[in-house]
Amino acid sequence: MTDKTNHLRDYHAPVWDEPVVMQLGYPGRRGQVFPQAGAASTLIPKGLARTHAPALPEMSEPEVQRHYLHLCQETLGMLNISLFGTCTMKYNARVSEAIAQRPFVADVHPLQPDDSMQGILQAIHEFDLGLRALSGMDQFIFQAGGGADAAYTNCVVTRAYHKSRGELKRRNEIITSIQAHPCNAATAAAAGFKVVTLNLEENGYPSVEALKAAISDRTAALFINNPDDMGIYNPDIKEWVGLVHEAGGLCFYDHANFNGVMGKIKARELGFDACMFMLHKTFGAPKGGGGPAVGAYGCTEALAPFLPKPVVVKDDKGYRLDYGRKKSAGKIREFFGNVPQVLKAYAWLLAMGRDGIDEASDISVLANNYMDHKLRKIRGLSRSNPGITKHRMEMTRWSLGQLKTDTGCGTVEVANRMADYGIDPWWMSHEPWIVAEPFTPEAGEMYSKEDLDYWMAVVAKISEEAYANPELVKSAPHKQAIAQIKGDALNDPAKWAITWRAYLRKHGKGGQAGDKTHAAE
Amino acid sequence: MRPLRLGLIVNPVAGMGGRVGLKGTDGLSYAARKLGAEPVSEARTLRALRRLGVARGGIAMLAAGGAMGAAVAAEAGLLCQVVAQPAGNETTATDTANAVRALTGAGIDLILFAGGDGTARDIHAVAGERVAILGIPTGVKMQSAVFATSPEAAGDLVAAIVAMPDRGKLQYRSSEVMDIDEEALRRGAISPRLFGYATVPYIPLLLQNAKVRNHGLDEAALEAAARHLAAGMDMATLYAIGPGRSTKRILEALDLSGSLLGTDLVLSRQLAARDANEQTILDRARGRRLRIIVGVVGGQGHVFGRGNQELSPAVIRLAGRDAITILASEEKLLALEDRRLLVDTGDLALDRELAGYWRVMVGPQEDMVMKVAAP
Repeated sequence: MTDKTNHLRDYHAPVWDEPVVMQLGYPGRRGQVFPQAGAASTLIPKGLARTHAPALPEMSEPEVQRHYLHLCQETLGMLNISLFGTCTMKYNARVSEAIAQRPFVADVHPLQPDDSMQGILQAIHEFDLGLRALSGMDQFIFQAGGGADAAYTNCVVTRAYHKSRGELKRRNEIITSIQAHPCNAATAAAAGFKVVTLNLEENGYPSVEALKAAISDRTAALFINNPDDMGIYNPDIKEWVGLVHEAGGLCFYDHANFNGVMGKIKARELGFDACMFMLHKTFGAPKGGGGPAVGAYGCTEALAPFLPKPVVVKDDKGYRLDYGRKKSAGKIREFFGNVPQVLKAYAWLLAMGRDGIDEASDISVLANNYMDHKLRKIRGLSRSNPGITKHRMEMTRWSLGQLKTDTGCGTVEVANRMADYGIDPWWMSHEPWIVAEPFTPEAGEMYSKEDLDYWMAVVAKISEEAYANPELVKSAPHKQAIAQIKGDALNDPAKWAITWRAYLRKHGKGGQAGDKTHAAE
Repeated sequence: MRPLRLGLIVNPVAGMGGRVGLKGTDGLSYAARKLGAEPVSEARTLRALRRLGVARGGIAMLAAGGAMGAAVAAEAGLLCQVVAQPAGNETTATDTANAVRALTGAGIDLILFAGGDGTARDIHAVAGERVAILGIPTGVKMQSAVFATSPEAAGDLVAAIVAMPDRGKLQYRSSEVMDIDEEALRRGAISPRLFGYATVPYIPLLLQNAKVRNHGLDEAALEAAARHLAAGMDMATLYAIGPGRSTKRILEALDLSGSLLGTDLVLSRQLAARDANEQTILDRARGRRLRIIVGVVGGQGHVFGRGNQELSPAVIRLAGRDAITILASEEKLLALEDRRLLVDTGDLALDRELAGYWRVMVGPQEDMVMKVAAP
């Protein structure tokens, strides 16, 4: 059985070498020909009528279908073995997808009267209760469109809280750590706070003394992950929270890495004032491709008055959207959140149940430690903070520093080569890379042991290749729809283009098509 | 694309003094040989050159002759044009200087050199900041921030430059050229000095893949921090602004022309003294509040005691810990070994007082907490 799973599949992606859709088609070709509605043109005000036809590709319907089929064949998709790294990956059950597409979800409008959408409001409220049970918080909201947006929510709640106490002017600093999720520092800065960053020390997390040096009467809040991206749990966390509270600051627990501790600890019991869960990762709603996301933000009763509105509440008449919140920090995002995602997460939570959640976290930690055990046998790899004997949680930051020194192949090169074996390249670890050439696999509870073995067999194979023939790895991928791309255009405003029009303008190609597009402007 | 014109200079005797306890090989290569020292420079250079791999095809190499470059280039299978010849068997600093002149005369993009701080100084003395240099670490002392972390890392960096789709996008940083007076060191006295700034290409630690943030943000943050400090200056306080590129941005923000390698004094937003010594600082600070703003020496992390000895124990005590601002880029701090800062003021009791956790300013609205260690 082991041989079978570790046999690396002979894979090759389809290569279509096809122009982009804007370059396809022939003049006059159409997908559907509709009858002319003669009077329609008179209904359009003169100022709104186009003078030139839009520069669309002229194609038949099967040609369009074929083109997009080719494009989707040229992606790896997200259904491969994807131990993405610094990201919890879960399968979204089709039944949850079906529920979210039912008319009682899909057809609801956020402006319809509360009493006509009691079912939706009930589901949101009950999911809120579920998250309260997991965190000990008193109220959750689902407006935030992702984890970073939830961290930003915490910034505005923090601001409103200190303002209400007349301390906002002085309390302008947010403390975080170098390996907390980068959005913690980024959102704090975006919200106008000064950022104080703690460094990791020998144990793999910042010391209490470093925290003490950062705390003052200017401290507004602590934003922290635990475990952070190193996968090491900070056992001093209660003391941390106590110190920040003593100084008058708030404490926010970024639960991006909740998988290792879910069902085991509650943010509130550690003393935190607020926390955040990602429904699109931890709670089984789909993630990837920048898909719809939700950052569930929860806080204590003391902070709840400052929450953005509306908040879904239950009273003796049923469920309603509470807009009448005088101390509210205002608005983070329209209405009450990405409801279909909340429904999918609610379905996942109900299906898992309390015992299932507990078991899933056990499996995540077990799977990660199984990987730790096997990965360390691969040449050129080493664990961050190798001196620490304590077990890691749901993920471990690894380093390819040795492989890079020995062969010139680092984390980018290995990731490129992974795609040649038909699995998703690992996601680059969060910046900054304080561990050389990092990667941070996160097994989660969803992948089977066979999947993990296959994934590690790929890494082991690439290590062998790097030592035997580094150029093979450096020039990868070789079996993909497209060879290595130079990513520099992504950082260059003179080159990047997210529309065809911008592409033509910046790259000056396309001749006639360019003129046509220009005319449409 | 046009090949990268790479100049190679090897100091063949660099590093020899190390294992035989000579604290460096400046002027002592003959003595080192007599003590049984083996040359290490060539083997380490070879390690770097072997890392070039396919990039070799994109390099036009120019080198000093014989043991100063051409020999090891040949061993690595690289064709090179010899532009200078050492005068004798035991190579000297003059040979190095001649080689730099010949290389710059022939036109090059980068000087790759193998040696230690002494070699870096010799090259910098001729090349200044006009020509980019990169050191393969093969010396005894390597306090300068011009060296790659290993011979392999030097080779990888050159290969990465060759592979760049647009070499115009390559970033450079001003890096400290430091050296200890070896004569003094052998007598037991340590007096490291900052000799200047060299231009060193780099691929930032934070920017090794395409998805990450835009280039140059660290520098921009530092510049903004300097403007922030300049704007917030108290008119009655005397500011002692230590040596280095980071801190001198404050003077630039004030439109003052200070000294790069010395401590400048600013009072009421005017230059009160340029390149001040300890006594001048103490004199001018009399009856005033004193605030010290210092940078961090790249690569090793010294805050006091390297290149800024005029910020003496007496000066530091006069200002007091709370009136010291450390300014550095995040990139520089994260690249430090063990990510800790060092103080070596010459007064151990003071060093111990300064040890502990400090908030280092990395941007106008951003501090990083760093551990400062005493010797």
